[in-house]
Amino acid sequence: MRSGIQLRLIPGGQVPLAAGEPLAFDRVFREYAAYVAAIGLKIMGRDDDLDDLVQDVFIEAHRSLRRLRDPGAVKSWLARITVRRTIRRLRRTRVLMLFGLDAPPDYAEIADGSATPDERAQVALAYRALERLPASERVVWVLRHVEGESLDAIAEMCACSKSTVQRRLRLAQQTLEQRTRHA
Amino acid sequence: MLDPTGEKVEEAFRHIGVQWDGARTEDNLRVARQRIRRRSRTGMAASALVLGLGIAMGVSYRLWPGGREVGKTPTVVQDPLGHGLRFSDGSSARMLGDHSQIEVVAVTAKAIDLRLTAGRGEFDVVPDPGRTFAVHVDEIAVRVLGTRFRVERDDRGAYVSVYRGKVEVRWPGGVRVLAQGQTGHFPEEVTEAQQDPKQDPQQDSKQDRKQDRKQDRKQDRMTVEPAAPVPPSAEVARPAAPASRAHFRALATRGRYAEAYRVLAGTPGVVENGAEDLMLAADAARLSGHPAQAMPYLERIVHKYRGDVRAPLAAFTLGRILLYQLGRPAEAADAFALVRKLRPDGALASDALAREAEAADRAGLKERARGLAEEYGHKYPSGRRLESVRRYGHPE
Repeated sequence: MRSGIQLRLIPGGQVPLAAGEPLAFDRVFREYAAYVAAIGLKIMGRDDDLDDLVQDVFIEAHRSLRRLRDPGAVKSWLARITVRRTIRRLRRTRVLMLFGLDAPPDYAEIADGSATPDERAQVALAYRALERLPASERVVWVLRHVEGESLDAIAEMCACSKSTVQRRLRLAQQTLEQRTRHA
Repeated sequence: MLDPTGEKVEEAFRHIGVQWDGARTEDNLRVARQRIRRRSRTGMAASALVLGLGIAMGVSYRLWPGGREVGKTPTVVQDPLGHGLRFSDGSSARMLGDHSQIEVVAVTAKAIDLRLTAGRGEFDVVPDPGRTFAVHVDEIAVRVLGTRFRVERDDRGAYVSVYRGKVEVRWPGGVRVLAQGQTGHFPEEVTEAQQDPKQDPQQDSKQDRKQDRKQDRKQDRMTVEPAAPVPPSAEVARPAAPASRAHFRALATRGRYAEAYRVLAGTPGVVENGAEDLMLAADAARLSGHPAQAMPYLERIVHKYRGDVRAPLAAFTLGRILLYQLGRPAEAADAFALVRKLRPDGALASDALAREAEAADRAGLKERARGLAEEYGHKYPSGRRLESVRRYGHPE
């Protein structure tokens, strides 16, 4: 162990990234790919685009990775890239669906094996309702209610102010309630 | 009914989980690496393409400087020091001396016309096949397509010196083309020979012109004819008949140097004691392939007519003959030094300094060459001969 660098062991035996070390792409990828995939899945509600999204996020990160020296900042930085990339994908998917070039996925599939049929139905219903929201509102709503992030964390991930997050959450909530009433 | 924020939905959301294991990570990592490599190659190819295009455009811009303004009317501004004019196509006009005056007559897409109303002006013209550049002195027009030349107005008309390229000088009743290194006083005097061509025993003929061209080409190859007849010094020449003198001047000013030199060799007295006549004689000799015979005339100009505007050009020409044609670099260095001494801020000063360094280097005067090279770098940090001058004075 090198002196002056605090290391800790994580499950799986991989040594975490240390401060001041140049960040190796492969290491960062292996450590955070699952995290990026989890955020992406919850925002998009589908698994079929997930591999592309994860690759896109890390390819974008690759360009600036050498300049990043603080391993503590990697996670939030990747989360910001993920949110930005996911919003772009949601908007593209909406346009494709408009022209009939893409079909809505079966949202029930994103629930794990332990979910009951009723819970699967709830997940599918919720995501179908989220389809109607603008991408920026959908993202903050998912991060708040599905991922369980704090307002501050959402503001950082979305690169906006906390009040913007609150406003988007409010608008999203109103839209969802109106939809469910009509339904 | 769905309550998106209700407890049931929140419970359902807890079951959303990504099926992401180590194998999927490795698969995605491999694909991501491939995409990064592909992207990097594409980026490099795009950069190379952009660089290639940039270089191609730059080269074409350099090779065809007039192209940047083709078909457009160039703009003209006074230079910051108020000593001349600058045109957006890269051409410039510089007033020499405090009393010089240049007027802009017309600036259009097809022509730039200036008028020299007083004093002297020096003109540097960027070639443009679609646009003419002319300087007018009263009824005399000096018309060019890419050159550097000087026009001096005096009581008789205009004195024109060409440093680079060619100019065509037109005046009522005459026209003459001046090439690099040539000078002329305009309008030219009408001589007997010009008035009555029948009296000219060697009047224009195809054969003669062919011979002239041959001689000029020979001069271009910088060959020396050691056995050429040696015209005596103008100081000891017997005065020639006015008809012969007029005939010689007519031939020399028309650029028929081979014929002019034959007249000169046969009748040395055709050259009078004047800087202009001496320059004509020097031109006739060197441009007909007799550089050694041009030297006495040039030396006489630089020593007897030091104040004349032709003196620096004569010294410069002397230096070139000594350096490039006669292989006497030490004397050539002194001749180029004289150019700067005669006119330290003249148009030939920078070129003379560079050539002096070259001549000193060739003569083995390494220390002098090194000093001159340093002086050049100091005085002309963006001089066009800077790269070559830097080599002088250093061991091979």
